[in-house]
Amino acid sequence: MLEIDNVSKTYGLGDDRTSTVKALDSVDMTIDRGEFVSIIGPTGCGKSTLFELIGGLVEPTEGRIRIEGDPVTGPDPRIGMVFQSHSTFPWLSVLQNVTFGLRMNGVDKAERRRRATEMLDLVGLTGFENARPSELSGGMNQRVAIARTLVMEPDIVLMDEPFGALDEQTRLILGEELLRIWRETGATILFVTHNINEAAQLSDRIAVMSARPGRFKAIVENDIPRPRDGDTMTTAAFNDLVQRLWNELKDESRRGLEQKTGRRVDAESGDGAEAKAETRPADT
Amino acid sequence: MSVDTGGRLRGVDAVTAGRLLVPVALVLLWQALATVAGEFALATPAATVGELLGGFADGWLLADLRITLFTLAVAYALAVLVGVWVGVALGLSDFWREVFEPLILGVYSVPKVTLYPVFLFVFALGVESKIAFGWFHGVFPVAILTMAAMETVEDDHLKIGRSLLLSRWQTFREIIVPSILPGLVIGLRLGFNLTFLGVVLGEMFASRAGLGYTLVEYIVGAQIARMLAIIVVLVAVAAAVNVAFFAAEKRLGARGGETADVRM
Amino acid sequence: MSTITDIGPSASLPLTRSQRVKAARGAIVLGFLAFVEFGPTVGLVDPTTLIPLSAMLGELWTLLSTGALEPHVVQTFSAVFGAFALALLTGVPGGVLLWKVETLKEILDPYLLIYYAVPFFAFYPLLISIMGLGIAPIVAIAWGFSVVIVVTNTASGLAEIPEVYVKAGRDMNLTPRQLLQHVYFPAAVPYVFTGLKLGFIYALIGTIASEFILADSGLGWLISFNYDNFDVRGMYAAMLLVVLLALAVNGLLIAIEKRLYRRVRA
Repeated sequence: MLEIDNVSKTYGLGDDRTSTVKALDSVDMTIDRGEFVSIIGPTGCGKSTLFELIGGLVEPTEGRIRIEGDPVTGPDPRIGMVFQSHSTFPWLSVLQNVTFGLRMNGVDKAERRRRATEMLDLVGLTGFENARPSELSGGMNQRVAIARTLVMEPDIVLMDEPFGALDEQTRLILGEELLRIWRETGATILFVTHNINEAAQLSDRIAVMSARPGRFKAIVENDIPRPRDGDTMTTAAFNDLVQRLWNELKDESRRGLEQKTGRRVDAESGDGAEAKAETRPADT
Repeated sequence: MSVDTGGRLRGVDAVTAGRLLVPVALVLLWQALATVAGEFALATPAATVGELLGGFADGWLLADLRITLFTLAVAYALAVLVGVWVGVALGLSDFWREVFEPLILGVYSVPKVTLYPVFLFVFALGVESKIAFGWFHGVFPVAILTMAAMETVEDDHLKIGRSLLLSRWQTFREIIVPSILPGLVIGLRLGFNLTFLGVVLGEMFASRAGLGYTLVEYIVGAQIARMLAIIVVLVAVAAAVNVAFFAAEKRLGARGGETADVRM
Repeated sequence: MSTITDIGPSASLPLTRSQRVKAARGAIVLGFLAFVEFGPTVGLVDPTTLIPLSAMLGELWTLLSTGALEPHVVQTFSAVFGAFALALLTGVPGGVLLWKVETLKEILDPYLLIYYAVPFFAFYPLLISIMGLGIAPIVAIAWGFSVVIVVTNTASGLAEIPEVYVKAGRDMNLTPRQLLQHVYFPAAVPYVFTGLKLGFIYALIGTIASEFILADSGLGWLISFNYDNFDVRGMYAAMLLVVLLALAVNGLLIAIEKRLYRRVRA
């Protein structure tokens, strides 16, 4: 279904493009149809880069990504993307947000409405059609974002820390909802997160990434039986898995943290970068 | 003043009443000045209104107004088109924005009126030179404020657009325009004001028609009442358009228009 | 947007980013200057409507060294400084008044906002009719054009002062007058300066535009006089002088402003 074939990505850093940073190094994985795969890793390990590479938003420096054998050279309609947070369009209503992609692709009004209504039902937002994103909670906004992506009926759904800005309870509830939606739609999901519990709760397989340059340090099979619910997370098997993931991740997190503070110093010494650095959130 | 709600209400009423009184006070001041200076130095408000109504009735004012408004409309439409295009294009590219921003701000700081002869050379004396000159005044604030508003476009929104394979036009219309709209309306208002000023200046300096032209013509005959009638029309056009823009800005929650720098 | 750049599949450029920005900007400026210099001589532009940059500079130098420009420079700057001084003397107290009397500010706010929407130069012919041709109507227009930006920036600058400075001053038992002199004004200097900077530039623009429309001397008048008399060389020389002066004044004021803001923020 989705092949990530030995992909590397190098960026030029800051003002001086002659110094480069290798964000991803020889990442290699094949994902089967209908699989739920999570990618976890420390801050700045290139998870989001991988997400954008698969989505066709950036090109790999080396290697290839293939969907059913076709190399990805740009955004592909078979792939749907869900972003971190605040990605709903504030100037549109919930219904208009969900029908946005359909409208842009020339789907007629009745069909748009039918599919959007179905999708809002799936994500549990029936009755909120005319609400504005600003009137909704963060969790509800992410439901809108998920519906907006799923309504396009992609074969593969990429999610970049979609619950990252939510509180723990909302995160758990939305996790369960996501599993239900996944079952009902049969989509392939690639889920980027830095939350170990979330990865263990949701996925079939979990790829653990190293600190920069990001590579797959380990790919862990998750054989905890489905359906999983809140009780699953108290079982010994679950805790073992979390412990195993944490062991893989521990050193990488520390390295990642060191790199991050090191990089911030770099970024701020550059010409004109000071003003920008002030307004930028800490982890971009 | 008391601090209870009644007092607060009276406070709000004082502001409203005060705002309504400002034009009244201006007219009274005008009347007083006219009385002191004498009718030949400064026409009274009543005489001006008389000329104004007469000007509409026998058409001299209306004909000039039509020419000025036509020039203004064409110049403004072109200023918006080019200004928004430049602002969006530069806003989308960090590199070109950095290249052009100081150049645009530099040209913006030059008194544009000095360059008017160049426009006259290129476009001759007809309406084209007035359109070009009005455009030249208006295009800068539109471009500069559009460029600033582009900072508010969310990267993720643009990425969603790309992942949905939106065309350039779709991205512009459906994502960029709604994102920048609050800042954009301020730019459009300032752009209008400067285009208007540019058109009137152009007419005043070298022209054969239009309100600005007629205004300067009346210096010779010292037709004060007619000059004032033209000024009243110009002020009315500016005020009406700006009030409409203020309403739009308020509805869109636009901020920062008060501090924006308007230059000619 | 971040400073991280996507270098794509294969890229190795020898220049840093800021060097490339400067190179591109320099190329645009040089391209423009080259167009002005060579356009008329190689036949891109009609040489009767545009003269080479070197000819403009030569003419400007001749006019400056013979002293032909001096009376016009003096006239223009007398009007600019006169108008600016008046704007300073009336605008700063006006701003303090608006800041002190909240109701007055609320009443006038919409009018101040709409002030610069009016094509201000329409009043100039009227003032000529009333005051006669000369420096007086020019100073009046330039003052009117500059004073309101001084008023609004002074008022908003004073409103910008952190409450804690004022509390500290009160704590030291300063009189209202001392408070104004030793706390409010020093703290508001950069903001007020922004108003004064714009006020000066507006006075300059107002003066030159008025002279341009109708006057009997001054740099703006010189440009329009030379235009009317087909003295293309003289016109471009005067135009170049005005552009250079405007850029210099602007650059100088912005440099001072930057220093002042650095002092408050440090």
